[in-house]
Amino acid sequence: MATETGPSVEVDSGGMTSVALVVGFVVLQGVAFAAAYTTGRPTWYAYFMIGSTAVTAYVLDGSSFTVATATLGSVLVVALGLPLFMFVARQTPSLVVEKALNPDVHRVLYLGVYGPLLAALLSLGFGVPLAHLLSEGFPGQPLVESLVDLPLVVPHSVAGILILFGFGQSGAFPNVSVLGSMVGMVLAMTFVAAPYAVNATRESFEAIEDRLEYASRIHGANRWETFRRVTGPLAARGMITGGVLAWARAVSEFGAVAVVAYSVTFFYPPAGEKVTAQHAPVFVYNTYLQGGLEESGAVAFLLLAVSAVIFLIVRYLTNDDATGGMP
Amino acid sequence: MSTATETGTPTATPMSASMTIFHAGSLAPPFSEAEPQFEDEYDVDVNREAKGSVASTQKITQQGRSADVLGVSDFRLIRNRVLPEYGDWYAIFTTNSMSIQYREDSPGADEISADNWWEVLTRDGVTIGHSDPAVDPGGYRAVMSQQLGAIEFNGERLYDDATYQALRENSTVPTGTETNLEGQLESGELDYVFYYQSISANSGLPYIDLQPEVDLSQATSEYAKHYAKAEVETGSGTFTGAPIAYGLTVPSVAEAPGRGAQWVEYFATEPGRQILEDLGLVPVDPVVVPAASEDAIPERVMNVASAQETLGPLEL
Repeated sequence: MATETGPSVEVDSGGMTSVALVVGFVVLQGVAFAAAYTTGRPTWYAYFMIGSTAVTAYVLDGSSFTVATATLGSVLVVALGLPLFMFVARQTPSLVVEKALNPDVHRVLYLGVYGPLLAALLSLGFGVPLAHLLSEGFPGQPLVESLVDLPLVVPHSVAGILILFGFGQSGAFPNVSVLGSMVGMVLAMTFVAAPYAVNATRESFEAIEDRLEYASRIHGANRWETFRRVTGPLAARGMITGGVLAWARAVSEFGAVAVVAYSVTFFYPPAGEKVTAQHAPVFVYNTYLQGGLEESGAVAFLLLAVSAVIFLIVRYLTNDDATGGMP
Repeated sequence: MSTATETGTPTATPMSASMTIFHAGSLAPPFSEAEPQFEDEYDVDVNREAKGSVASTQKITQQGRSADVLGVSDFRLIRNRVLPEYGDWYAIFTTNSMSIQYREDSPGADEISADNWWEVLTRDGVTIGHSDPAVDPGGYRAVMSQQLGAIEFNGERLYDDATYQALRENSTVPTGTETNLEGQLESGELDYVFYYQSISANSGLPYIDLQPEVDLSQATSEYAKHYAKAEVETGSGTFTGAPIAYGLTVPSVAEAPGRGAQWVEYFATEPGRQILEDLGLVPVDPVVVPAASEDAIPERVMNVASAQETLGPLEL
């Protein structure tokens, strides 16, 4: 297949080789992990992962710098990956299947993806204009910046209380029902997630050369057109990264959501009617309280799997159109 | 190091310099009040972790963590889930009662009293909150209180079944554990909340002290039989009504069991009892321990406890 088109042979075969390499490396890691896990020695796998990364880096590149960055980087990857791999390995497949077939769990997963999506869109919808302003600078900017970052340090259950008091019956919009409603859940999520969307987007605006914008203006484009054709597309990656971060942050939010919207009533398309469910982290915690670690682990595993698939899809799509394929 | 020195005879060997307590959220006020006094008196550093009763229990039974004292709002959690694998005994040391808290500006707040609360709470547009019956004893107890009003006690009942249904219709479950209810009430999102009197008595907001036939506070046979007519079905099982009886134990996985026994003794004697009373709880005097596990009970606890086979109709 790769040889069908002459000029692209070089690129294609390079791509094929790298795919083969990735697959081979993943398989090797999988086998090593399985061996280490089944013999009860996950520590060995940690060393293996770091060592194999160093060797691979040496074989592929050979420069001491690459070997050093790959080795140090792999330490972090072990710290992030090992607990996840062990968590996955500990699951009881039959229990995961049972949970995966449970309609209640479907609702939870739907809500756990859909609610954060709304929060991410809300964060981007209003966060992108704000990020653009921040990247340009204005008087009093530090105040606004601090305000945007402040939710990051607010303890999560306190964030929930803030939402209740801010938007509840005694707050700014007494007519809006926030307790146990989709609105409340999305507001609570946006509160904790928006800083990520704003900051990531802002950095991508700041990375754009000012001259590009001037050039666009000089050639007669007004500011709207310049945003639409030049700065917007150039910052798209930052927006997507910000959106994904905000979405992920919202997916994982327990504290604020548990205070504002413990149970949420929402329209569920597969049932064609309104149903009540809990945000995934709340549901996982309650499953833990009612059924113990194994059962809650199975639900958490499903949430993790769905999130991983969504991450991969988003990364795949954005890698394609933004840069035409990453090496 | 404490494990090595203390497993034998806790009372005779040197005591550990620190101890850990897992306890229900509703025990946080008395425990934090007692902490500095206890630390001074016994020269020990006390670390406390407050969480729901179920979650506190599961830290030991599911997460493999160790604590020197476990305190929960329903002793049956210890009896059914901790014994025999993670503990051998428990002490019932205090009771509590259910109450209704509200805001000065809750709808109907100017008329509500102990004699008409069900009438006010069933009005249109009133929102009643309680914690989740499936995961929190405070939640199923709130539903039990509502049920008991419609069940005859000594030939009389507070209200009829339709009123009970109306109460349920106005009730919502906005939280897992009761700790969030007060904030939700103050924010105006809830008008009335059902939780323990030990919470409402200390919050500064007005509250209704409920009738003993619905407040689950009386640990006597007569009342316990009545309470047992309430039954709440949840996703995690069916719960039967019983007097609110808090349990304490020193788990068998404790690293400083001697310190744990001291803490239990503290709450079985005057200084601890006084604190419980000051904070709206009703200490059990003397604390009750199950007769069947008498041999396993630390001496300093047994000295101040009464071993019994039953508590009212409740088997120990």
